Formats: sequence, C-alpha cells, structure tokens
Amino acid sequence: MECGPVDAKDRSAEPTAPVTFLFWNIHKKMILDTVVQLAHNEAVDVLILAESIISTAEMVAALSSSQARHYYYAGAGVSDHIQVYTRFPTRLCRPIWDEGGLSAYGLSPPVGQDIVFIAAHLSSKLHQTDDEQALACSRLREFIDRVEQEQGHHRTVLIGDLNMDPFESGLTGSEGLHAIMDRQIAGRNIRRVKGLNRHFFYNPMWSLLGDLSPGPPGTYYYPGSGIVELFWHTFDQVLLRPELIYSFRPETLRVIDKSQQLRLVTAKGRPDKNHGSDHLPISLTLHL
Amino acid sequence: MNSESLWGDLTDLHRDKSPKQLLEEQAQLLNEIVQGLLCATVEIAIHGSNMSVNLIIVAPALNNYRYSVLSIFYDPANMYPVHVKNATVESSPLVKCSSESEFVECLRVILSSSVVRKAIGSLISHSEK
Repeated sequence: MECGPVDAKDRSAEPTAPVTFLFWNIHKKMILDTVVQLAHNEAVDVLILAESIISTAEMVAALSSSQARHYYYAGAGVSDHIQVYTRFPTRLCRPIWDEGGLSAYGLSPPVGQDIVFIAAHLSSKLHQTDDEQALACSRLREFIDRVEQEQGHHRTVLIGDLNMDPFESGLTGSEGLHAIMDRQIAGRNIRRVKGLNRHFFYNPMWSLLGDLSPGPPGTYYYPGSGIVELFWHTFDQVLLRPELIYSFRPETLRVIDKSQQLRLVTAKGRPDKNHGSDHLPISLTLHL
Repeated sequence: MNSESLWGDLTDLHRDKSPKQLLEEQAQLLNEIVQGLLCATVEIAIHGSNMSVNLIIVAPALNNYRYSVLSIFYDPANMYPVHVKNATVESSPLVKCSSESEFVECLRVILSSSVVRKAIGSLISHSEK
C-alpha cells in the first residue's frame, strides 16, 4: 500500500454521474408506504434498510410501482440483517462479502467509476460496553481491508447504523475505523501509527452534529437518566475513503426529518416512532 | 374572378429551426448511430414564457438509466438568445448563444467532447454485456 497524499487527480475530463444513497434503520416497523414515498421523493438509487421485517418482494413491488426505473433487491445470497434495493441492474450492484453485521457490495455505475459500499448495522450499546464496541471496530477495519484488497482499490463508502457516535474511539482510533472530521487531513490517505500504516476515512457526519447543524441535532434520540446524557446521538453515519472525497457533494448530506409532504419527526423535532422509526434516515449523493 | 394573394412571395422564406428542433435532430442522429442500444430524447418544460429543453440519453438495457447531456433555456417567441447548460461538467456556467450558428457551435463543442464520448461508450459497453 502506497504512502503519501491521496491522488487528487482532476476528474473533469472523465464522465461522472450522481448516485444517491439513503440508509434507514426502520426499527422493525411496517412502514412500507413511508419508505417508498421517501425513496421516490429523494430519487434514491441505492436504498439500504436495517432492521427491516418487510418482505423484500413486497418492497420491490411497491418501490417499482409507477416508476420508469424499477428497483431490484440486491441482497440475494447474503444475510438478512441488511436489505439493499437499487435502481441499477443487479449485475452492476452485487454482493461481495457478508459478515457479522456488515454487507459489502460492488457498485459499477453505467457512467462513472466503480466503488465498494459497505452497509453496516453494528451491535447495540444494550448488548456490550463502550470498550467492547471500540475493540470490535478493529475487526471491522480488517473486514474493510480484506474487501479493498480483493477489489484492488480503496474507493469505499461505509454507511449504516454504527451504534456509536462519530467521536467514540472505535470510530476515530487508528485501530478502528480511523474516521476523522477533516477532509484535508484525511486526504493524506494514510497515517503511520506505531510502525503500521493505517488508512483514513473521512467522516462528514461531524458537520451535522448539534442543533446548529442544518437538520436535526442527530439521528437518534434517547432521553436517558444517567449522569452523562447526550440525548441526541448520531449513530447513523456515512464514512468515505479519501479517494471519494472529490466525488462527495457536502450539500447533499442530510439527516432527513422531512421530505416533501412526508414528516418523520414529532412536533418537538424528535424521531416519530409512531409513524416512522426511532432513527432518522441519512442520505447523500456521490458524483462517481 | 381569381383571388389575388396579397402575401407576396412566401416561397423563399427562411424558416429557422427552433433550438428544440435542433436538439431533437441531434437526438435522432445519435439514435440512428447507436441502433437502439441507447435512446436519446428531449424533455420539455414550460416556465412562464420560457421553455427549457433537456437532452437525455436513456439506456433501456440498464433499467432506463438516464444520463443528462445538456439543458437549454429560451423564449419560444423569440428563440434567440438561447442559454445552454452543459450537464456533463459540474458547475459549468450558462452559455449565451445569440444566434443559430452560435448555438450549433456550442452544441458541437459539448456533444463531441471527450466526456460525452466516454459516457456514451460506457453506456453502450454496459448495455451490451
């Protein structure tokens, strides 16, 4: 693996086209109509659902109804903790590897460069300590390294419910995901840490934390009674390898609380668990 | 008594093609070249007294994947100037074309660009697999 800064080559001479991703942990809710409306409103190309108990056949039929471009279920052959639906033919969006809450897919858009996206639903804080979560991220890093080695590139997007906030050590540490808040630093590509090279991720979700961000303060609201309570968490995140920073359009990254007529939060601005999920969806568009 | 035409000689009237017609011609030409693998089409929207026309390439074999090539904006009553937005290059400025010849030249630059050629090649390649 090469050291030094990421190749910031000018891709203006190459054709690119937008690809819109949307991830939502729907908390085992039967909210088919809401998911479909959201996907159509946001013109989603790759829809990733966690904790979905909606039948994939039902979802494909509903997503494709009245649409010039059909949706396909891309998750055939992998475990069902994550469901991936796509408007790309399945030969262009294929499962690569599936392991312990992670599903890796290869995406070859008709126009633009191939990427890998990894859909994640990591274990809840209810079942493990913060330390255990952080240590488990080293396995996640190894999984990503294996996938990238096999695919021969580092154009990787990680998207999902990580059940950790962006500032937790599993996310930021070099032995975990090594995901940082600054594109310029992440653009160095690799950091040498105690004799070993560690690839960066860029985590744009840092820019969406708190009530001064353009959308909701987080993606998940938990009003606990402990001594330390954040109330809002941003468990649902998207991380980008430096190679994809130039494909990322910051203005497209959103925590979605409303989409046209669809409202996913209560009057107090918190996730509406009665009509939606306890998590809010996130979306972004990459020009690949 | 035979009626006399008071219109004068209309046979040599020069009828300009509208910008939309010019785009439709180019779409048709591409469709003939790619022989059904791709389908170039124009989509029209009216905004008050102005019209926008988008030139799109659709790949039927790829679940009707759409690649936007360019958009034009003009007043159909006057036709020119027409403003052209190159959709294949992000943040490209609107280009003002004051006449048909300027517009045709602008189209030539965009449609024959290496970016568009590569995109068409990629769409054909993926469609044929």
